[in-house]
Amino acid sequence: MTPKQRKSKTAYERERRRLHRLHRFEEAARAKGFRLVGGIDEVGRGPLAGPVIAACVVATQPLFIRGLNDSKQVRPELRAEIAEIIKLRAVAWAVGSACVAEIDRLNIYWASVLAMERAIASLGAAPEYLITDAVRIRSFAGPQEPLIHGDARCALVAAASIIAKVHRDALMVELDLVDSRYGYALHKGYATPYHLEALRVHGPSIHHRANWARVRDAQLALDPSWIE
Amino acid sequence: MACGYRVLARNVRVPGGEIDAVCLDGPTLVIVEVKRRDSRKFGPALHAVDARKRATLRRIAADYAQIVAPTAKIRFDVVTLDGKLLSLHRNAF
Repeated sequence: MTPKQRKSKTAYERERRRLHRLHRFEEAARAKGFRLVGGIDEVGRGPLAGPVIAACVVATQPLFIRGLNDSKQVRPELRAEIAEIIKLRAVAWAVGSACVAEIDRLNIYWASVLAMERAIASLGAAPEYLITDAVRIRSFAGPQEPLIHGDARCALVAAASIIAKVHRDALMVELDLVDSRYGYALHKGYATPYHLEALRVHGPSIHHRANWARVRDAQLALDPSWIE
Repeated sequence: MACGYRVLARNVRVPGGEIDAVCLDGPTLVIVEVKRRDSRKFGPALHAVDARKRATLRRIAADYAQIVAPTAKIRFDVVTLDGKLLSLHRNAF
């Protein structure tokens, strides 16, 4: 075997082992007798603008998709591809969202939980066992397992993070067509230098989270009389 | 759930069907379908907006928009109420 072949073989083996590790939590749940295991995750907690999106993926069998990982660690093009495969293989999947007004009213944590509850409510098949990314969803009746860094440790949560990420990115690109001042298509609402500069020039829009410190600062800089 | 839409009309009867609500979201005409489910027995409310309902809505929305705003962009949203949980599905189909 040439060194190159050996190298590609070990890379393949490494990916296989990684995927096995990624499925250990749902396998443990299946060993306990739960057939419909769900993973849930949210994206969009950090940005200054746009909704939080949650996705839930339910599967009866391991997804075992090469390259499946936390949505932040997968390239955008590959993310879209993997999202399509997930939608084909999952028993059920759904997204839920919480809009900017709800984020301002509740706070980002409870708004993301609300988005997750909406995702679960829209699911064609309710999961018997739910793996979450370090949150507890009180309205969910069945057993749930909150995992810290779940999106990087569990295949179903990673799958949910990818579905949510692809959905939110598409939404922000669409928002960019409606309001092109801030360059949402570039940064998807996150606080990049470009976005902050646009925020300074134009001030916040209705799609900005008014309670965010940096959005508030931009508003105050533009209009000092605006103090609650 | 006020998400910044302006409601133009509710329960619009058009030959061939009914539109639950017609709203404006900025420049876009939004056709809203409202569905409610009190139990999960027959699946989520969102799934009750099936292919036939979607086709009906598309058809009558096209007719309706032709009359009120022939050039406006149209979007279809679904508002669901599963138990006590209200959700808005933007651009649902």
